[in-house]
Amino acid sequence: MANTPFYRVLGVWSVVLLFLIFLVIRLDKETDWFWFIIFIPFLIFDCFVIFFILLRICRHLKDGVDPNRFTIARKCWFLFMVTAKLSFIIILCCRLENIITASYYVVFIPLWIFLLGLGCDATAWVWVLANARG
Amino acid sequence: MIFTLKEVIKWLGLSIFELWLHIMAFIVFSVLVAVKLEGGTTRSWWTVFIPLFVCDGCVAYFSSIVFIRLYLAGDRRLAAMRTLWSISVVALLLTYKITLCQRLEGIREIDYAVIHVPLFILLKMLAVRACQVDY
Repeated sequence: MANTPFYRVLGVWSVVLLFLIFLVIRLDKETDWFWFIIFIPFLIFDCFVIFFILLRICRHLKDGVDPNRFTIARKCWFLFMVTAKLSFIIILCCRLENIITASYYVVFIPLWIFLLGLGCDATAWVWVLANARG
Repeated sequence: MIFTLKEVIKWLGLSIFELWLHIMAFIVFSVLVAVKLEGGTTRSWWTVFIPLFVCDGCVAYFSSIVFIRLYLAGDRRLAAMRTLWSISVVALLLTYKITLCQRLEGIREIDYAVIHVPLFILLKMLAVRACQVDY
């Protein structure tokens, strides 16, 4: 029951809503919260997703089969993507709080890795669909 | 990993091609944002947002083509519903981007809470859609 798409949609939707509310409050200077607090919904969500993927990898290695038919390599790819996204959020928060003084080009590198990975996946989906339709 | 591609497409009401367009536009946009934040260009925020505006234009064009084809195929209800959803999403995103650009350029001093209203409306629409869509 808790694993139906509706509950997963509800989870993602709540995370985005909470983040937007925190962001608006911070940008309008109603509060001077740390940027880490603003990004907490995404930080918690990404940590949860990483834990979930690691759990699935362990189950796959134990049982030798995955119910969703994802290979170990595919799961490692998902893990890499989520880690890149999490790294971007952490580095961005550090930069916004002036904990580090790195250039924004360096800060954006994990985001570009994540987006390029997503772009490659999306291109593959479009390619498969185009070939399926002939 | 959390959602399958089919679930994402059904929830967001986008086709795979539209999803691909949004991702590609966001890649270019993120590069331009980094250049702008580092002071590598003196161009305005309107220039930085150009990839996203172009993407919205392409999505609107694509949706109109789909509407015409569905209408000619006789599926009028589906054509109307799909186009209504696409137009609403594009209009809300475009409103958000334009007001954000105006604020960043100092043309209008609007609160960020007001600027983000289209996104909150979009989230509300997505919540309703999540309840309606049959996964």
